[in-house]
Amino acid sequence: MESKASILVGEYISRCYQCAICSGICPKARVKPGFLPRRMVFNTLIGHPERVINSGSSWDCLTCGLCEEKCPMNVGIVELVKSARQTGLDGFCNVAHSNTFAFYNIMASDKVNPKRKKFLAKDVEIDDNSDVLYFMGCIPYFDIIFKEDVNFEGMGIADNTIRLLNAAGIRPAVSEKEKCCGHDQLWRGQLNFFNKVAEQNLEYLQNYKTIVTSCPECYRTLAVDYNEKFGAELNVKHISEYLVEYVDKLKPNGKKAKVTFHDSCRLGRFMEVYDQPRELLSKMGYEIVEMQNNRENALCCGVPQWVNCDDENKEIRRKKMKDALETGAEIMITPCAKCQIHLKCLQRDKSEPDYNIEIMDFTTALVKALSR
Amino acid sequence: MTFEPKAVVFACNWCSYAGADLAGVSRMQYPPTVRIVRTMCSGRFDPEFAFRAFEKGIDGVLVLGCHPGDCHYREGNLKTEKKVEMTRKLLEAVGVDPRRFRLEWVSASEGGRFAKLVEEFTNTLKELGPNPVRR
Repeated sequence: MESKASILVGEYISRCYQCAICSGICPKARVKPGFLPRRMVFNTLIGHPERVINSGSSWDCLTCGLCEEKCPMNVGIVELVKSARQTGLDGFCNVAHSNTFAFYNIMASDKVNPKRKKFLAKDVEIDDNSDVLYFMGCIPYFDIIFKEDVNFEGMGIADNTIRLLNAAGIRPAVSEKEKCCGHDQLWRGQLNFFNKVAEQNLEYLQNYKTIVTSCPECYRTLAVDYNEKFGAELNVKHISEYLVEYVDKLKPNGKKAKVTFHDSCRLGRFMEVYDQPRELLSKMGYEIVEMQNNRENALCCGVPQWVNCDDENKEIRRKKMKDALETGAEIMITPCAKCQIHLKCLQRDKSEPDYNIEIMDFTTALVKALSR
Repeated sequence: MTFEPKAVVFACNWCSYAGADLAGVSRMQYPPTVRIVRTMCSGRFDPEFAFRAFEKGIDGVLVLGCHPGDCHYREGNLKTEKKVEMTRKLLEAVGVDPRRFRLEWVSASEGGRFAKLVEEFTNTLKELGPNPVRR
């Protein structure tokens, strides 16, 4: 029988020699024994991609990229999962808070413009004519939904990013036309939404010389997916990459603390930004102690794209917190707002043991050590 | 042609739906703007209801429940209040006018109040014009 389903695969997939290092390293395979990345590649290779799609195993994947990092033959497993999701049931997956996140669909219309400036604190300086744009991402929405419930920093992240840019002598622009970057929808296979918001975003993004993001997911989507899919030539930088050039202008106030840095998957493994945040943190007076799994081996926070927030993935989050506690650091610094939400959500869970470590955003940590 | 707004009302079974019923049996006049959806409690209201409705192009959403303290399920309407607050903020943040979305308390004996509310809401919607999301 000829299979109707087909998966667009990366060019290296046929190189796979089934060594199963991907299944061995996979953090999800440890908590969900039936899930094997190797089997997904195998089924695709022998011409049964529908098995990957129908079994739902593509939805179990965290898309954290740890398997690709270890693969000796550079097989694009994450890319395979992504296209399996896009070919399969349109947008079918177990999304946490999906009822609340239904508001994203309103944004796909080109008739509504989200207003972002009014969320900002009064002391930050923005300039509409600047050629540097700060792309805020979903922080205002997460602020509304999660600030009270999980003690999330919320708009503080966006304010602090602009404060850091101000300290470096830059007044960035903030666009009122900005929509969601579409990262989650792209990775959940909802291409329809992604294409709509991407086209609307690209209309104004191309007017700016540099785009600075504080969110690793926005960073990856704007820098890679927008440029690849739509042929745009955006110059996108993560705030840590951008600030490294202005490191001399940032004066530390002598605050000392022992911290550990969580490499979120989009910033670390996908974009290979490891050194810049660490350099900035140590310049500002923080002492960095590394977790057992750090840099390209870093463990995922457990719930990427809000998919599969369940008991299995909770185990991954517990492991992450344990890793952080073992370092003896006072603060775990994460560059990603979503990682912060997921980990703080575990912290406030009353059935969990006490995880006595403060979780802080990367930009907040820098601003706290900044003398002003 | 003049603009006739369309709105959806989520009314709780014990107070507001009975209130709307009373408005009907007492033959009170109110504009034919609203489509009433009965929920067992206003606490059944979910942010998704409003988001989906606005996405499909509705002009307004009205959530009606029992007065605080009168809830048939003790505290359902207090939960609604929290959810509605969040929904309103999110709607504003994505660019939908928050005046299109309201929470009101209507008890079973307040048929007149229901009719008045619908009229008021219709006037607000007429002022605001059609929902921009509508294609």
